[in-house]
This record gives sequence, structure tokens and C-alpha cells, in this order.
Amino acid sequence: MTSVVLAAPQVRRTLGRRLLPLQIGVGLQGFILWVAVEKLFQTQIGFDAAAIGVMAAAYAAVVPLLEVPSGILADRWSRNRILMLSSTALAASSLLGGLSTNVATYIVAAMILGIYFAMNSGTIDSIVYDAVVEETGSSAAYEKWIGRVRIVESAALAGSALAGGILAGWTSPRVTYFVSVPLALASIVAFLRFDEPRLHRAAAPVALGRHVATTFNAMTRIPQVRRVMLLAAIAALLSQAVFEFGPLWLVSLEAPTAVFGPYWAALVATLGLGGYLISKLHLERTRSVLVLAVALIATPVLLATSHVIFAVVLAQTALQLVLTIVGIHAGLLLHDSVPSAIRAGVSSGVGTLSWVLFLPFSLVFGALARAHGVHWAGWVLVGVVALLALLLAASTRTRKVTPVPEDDEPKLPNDRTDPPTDLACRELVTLVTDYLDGVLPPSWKAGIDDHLNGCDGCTRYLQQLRATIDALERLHADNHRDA
Amino acid sequence: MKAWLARAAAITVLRGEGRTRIARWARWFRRASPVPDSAFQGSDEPYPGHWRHLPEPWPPAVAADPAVGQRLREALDELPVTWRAVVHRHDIAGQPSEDVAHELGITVEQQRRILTMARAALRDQLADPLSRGERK
Repeated sequence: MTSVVLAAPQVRRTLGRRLLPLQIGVGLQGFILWVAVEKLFQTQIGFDAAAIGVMAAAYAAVVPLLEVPSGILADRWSRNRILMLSSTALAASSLLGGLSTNVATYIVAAMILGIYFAMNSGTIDSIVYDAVVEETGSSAAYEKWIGRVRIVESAALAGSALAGGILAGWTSPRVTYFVSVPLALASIVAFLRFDEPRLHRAAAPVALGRHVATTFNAMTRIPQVRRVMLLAAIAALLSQAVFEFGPLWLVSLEAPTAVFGPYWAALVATLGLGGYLISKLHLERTRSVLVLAVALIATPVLLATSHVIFAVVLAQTALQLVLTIVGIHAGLLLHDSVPSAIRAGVSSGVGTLSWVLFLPFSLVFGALARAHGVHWAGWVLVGVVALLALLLAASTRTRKVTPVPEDDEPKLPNDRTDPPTDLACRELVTLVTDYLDGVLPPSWKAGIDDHLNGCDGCTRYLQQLRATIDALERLHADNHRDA
Repeated sequence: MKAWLARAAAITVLRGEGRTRIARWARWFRRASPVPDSAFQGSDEPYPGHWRHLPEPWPPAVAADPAVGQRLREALDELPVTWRAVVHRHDIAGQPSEDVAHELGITVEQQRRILTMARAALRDQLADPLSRGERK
């Protein structure tokens, strides 16, 4: 008979080592060479601004539909395999895009890319989260590790932008599509080497309805939350608009191919730079926010009026940088104004809102850019940015948002003594090991004892845990007897 | 369509946490807590944070039951590798926390957190048949 103790895995692996194949896979997936020269290629095969608007609207409508089913599939089947499927979709999209000679086939390629995004988005996050919990027993290190994954991803984006620009200059934009295919396929190999977390398979079913209702109420009934959500969603919309339509300025100014790579690299670099700068700026001060608001308005005005390539690139980069900063700032305001239990849900509301707003925006912007030129359409950008600046300025006056009260903890009816104010059963179950090991500070231990005195549920839970530990100890005795 | 990449990154920065709805929802419900949040009352119920339904009682002398031992072995095999390693060393072989943490290259604090999660998962696996009275 196999001994349980002998079967104990000889683990000596760090979280970093475990996540390495995932990081490599993410980096390979992010290395998409054609992204920087996409608009150039699209122009070559017959896209005009309106067609680009239609394409953007098409995936803005389609991908949110695919996101939820693919997320559920990832949870029920295998996240790792969903990632491999997404790599396959990325490769197929690059191939079809490269083969495209007209607008229609390219839009099909764009929709296949949509499958990639729908499958990919969120899957990495949940994998990293579960891996962190599996290796450390808590989620505390999640932000650190997802941050590292993001750094790899944005480095791949910036690197591929530069490389793609150079490659397109040497050969043609079309070649960048074909060269991207093997890179996407190589990421499958990396994902194959990744040891997928298994936590989600044991996840208990949850009451979705109530959480949805609580979240929805917070989003719709509290004025401050509504305003901050709008601020965050418009910042996200504008950021998306700069990435989607910004290259049209370069196309209309007939910028040389070599400009596109560095241009794109500068745009994606602002995502990281903004995250760094936000800690240096004091956005709780009204003056800093007003400076930011003025900078916000100035950049699209420059875009609407300037015909100098360098000025346009500078203006877009500056705009994207300010938008990133505003976006992070809005996120902080949002997190301050809702209780933790519904933070994620409200954030997802922002994402959905920005999609819903982006869809008509891209159609209108695309149509205007075709009819009157991209500079004229730039005034639409000025209008939306002005709205954002107003919302931003308004946010300084309501900086002291009243948070929705976190869970007030009414005492259990039969509580004879007062437990520590925040010690509910939910907290107690996270402290039991510390309690059993006797490593808790005396006041906490007393608080838990008090809680156990008055709480049948936790008393029973603790008894059952003790019984489980007893049964585990017996396994040891069994093994010795078997041996 | 590159806007996708950009938006994904921008939104990530914006939130400083997960990327899409699904990830966020999933995490929201499964914040690394040893007992799922759904077992506790929400903020709109009479006693938020307290048990929604008390854990079902178990029969006495559970630990001595061979069927329970077998169930426990199966449940152990389902655990993530590192969790299994911690439970084997600490609860089955009876090693002190410091040694377990040292052998596995984790901190003592992490070792305790893992133990909390793993024991809760094992209890949960045992609870199902026990509370349904399926045991002989």
C-alpha cells in the first residue's frame, strides 16, 4: 500500500518559478508585430476612417458578448486550455489579417482577434490569483505578481511596436502579420509547461443575485459613485479612442512607416509611466487637478489644429499620459466611495459603461473623420475631453466622498460579551489556525473565546476542524501500522 | 483593434486589480477566504458576516471512522500541491511549523495561512457525506 506520508510531494518551488512559464507565454502573446502599423496596412487595403469606425464598433459590440461565456468556460473546464485557444485565435487572426486584401476579410480577422481578447482577458488574472493563493495561502501578494505580469506584457507591447515598425519599414506592413503567427503559436508551448492552479475547480457555488443587486444599487443610487463612474468610464473611452483613431492623424499627414513603431511604443509606454507618476502628483490638491484639467484640454486642441507630425505625436502621447493618470485617479476615487465587497463589481460596471459609450463614439468619430477629415473630427475629441475635464474639476470639490458604510456588525442576539468590533464569523474562520496554534495576541484570543461562547456556528465549525485534524493524525498512525 | 490591448492595460492600471468582468467577479466571490463568503450573511441581511446556515452537526467519533480516513485521503489528493505538502508535514507527520516552512521555502506566516485554507477545504470535503448521514 502506498504510504500517504511517502507520497507527500517534495515541493521546493517558489511562486516566481511556478509563474515563469506563464510570464513567458504572456510575453509571447503580447509580441504582436503588426499592432503598430495596423492603420497603415488598413489604409493600404482600402480602409477609410468610417470603415475603421465600423470595425471598432463591431468588436465593441461582439466581444463583451463572448467575454462572459468564455470566462465561465475557463472556470468550468481549464483556464490554461482557454489561454492556448486564445493563442490559436491570435495566430489565426494574424494570418487572416496578413492575407487580407479588402475590408471585409480584415473585419473577419478583427473578430477572430476579438475571440482572442474575450478568452484572454481576465483568464490570466484569475490564474495568477489562484496560483498566489496556492503557493502562499493568501491573496496578499496578488497585486505584486499581477503587476509583474503586466510589466512583461507592456514591455512586449512596446518592444513589438518598435520591432514591427522597423520590420514594416524594411519589408512591408503585411510581413509583420505573418511573422507574428509563430510567436503566438510559441506561447502555446509556454502555457503547456505551466502548472495550472486547481483551486477554482473546488469553488463553491455562490449566490450571484444578491451581489449583483447590491452592486447595481450602489452604482445607480449614489450620486458621487455615479459621477466618479462616469469620470472613469470617459477616461477609459478616450484612452481607447486615442489608441484606435490616433494613428489616423499620422496616416493623413503621410508620416513615414518608420515613425509608427516609436509612436506606438511611446503611447503604450505612457500606461506604465502614468502609473509611476500618479504617486508623485498630489491629486488631492485642487491646484494639481486644475493643471491636469488644463493640460487635458490643450492636447486635443493641438490635435485638431496642428499639421506637424512631431506635434501630433507629442500631443497624443501627452493626452494618453494624462488620461492614464486621470483613469488611475478615478479608480482611487471609486474605490474610496464604495465598500470593499462590491468594489470589483462597480469597477466592472465602469468597464461595461466605457464599452457602451465607445460604440456610438467610434461610429460618429469614424463617420466625421471620413466626411471632414481627421482634424475636423478632432473637435469631437476636444468636446469629450472638455466634459472629462469638467468632471475632473468637479471631483475635487467632492473629494471627501462619504463612503457607503462598511458592514455594521450587529451582535448575535445571544452574545453575552462583546467580541472585538469587527470579529464576525467570517473573520473568525480565517483566524482559527492562529487560534489553535496559540500565536494570537491575548486580546484577540479572548475575543475569539468570547465569540465562541456566544456562537453555536463557530463552535461547531471549530469542533469539526479539530475532528478533521484528528483524522489527519490518524492517517499517520495508519501509515505506520501499514509500514 | 489594438485599442483592446490598450484598454485592457489602461483598465488594469485604473483598477490596480483584475482585468475583466469574469476575473473580477470570480475574485470577488472567492477572496482568499477559507470558507466561501456565500456561507455568511451579506450586508443586507440581519447579521452580516455571521453564518447564514450553521454548519450541519457531525456524528461523534468521526476521526476513528475508516470511511472518513478514506475520504480524507481522496480529499488530500485534490488539494493543490503546496497545500498537500503543508498538511502532510504539519498535520499528518506532526512537524513543527518552522520546519515545514523551512523545508518548503515559504514563510511561517504563509505556512499558517495555507494550513487554514487546506484544513477548511478538507473539513468541507468531509462535511458533505457526514452531514447527509451517508456514512455507515
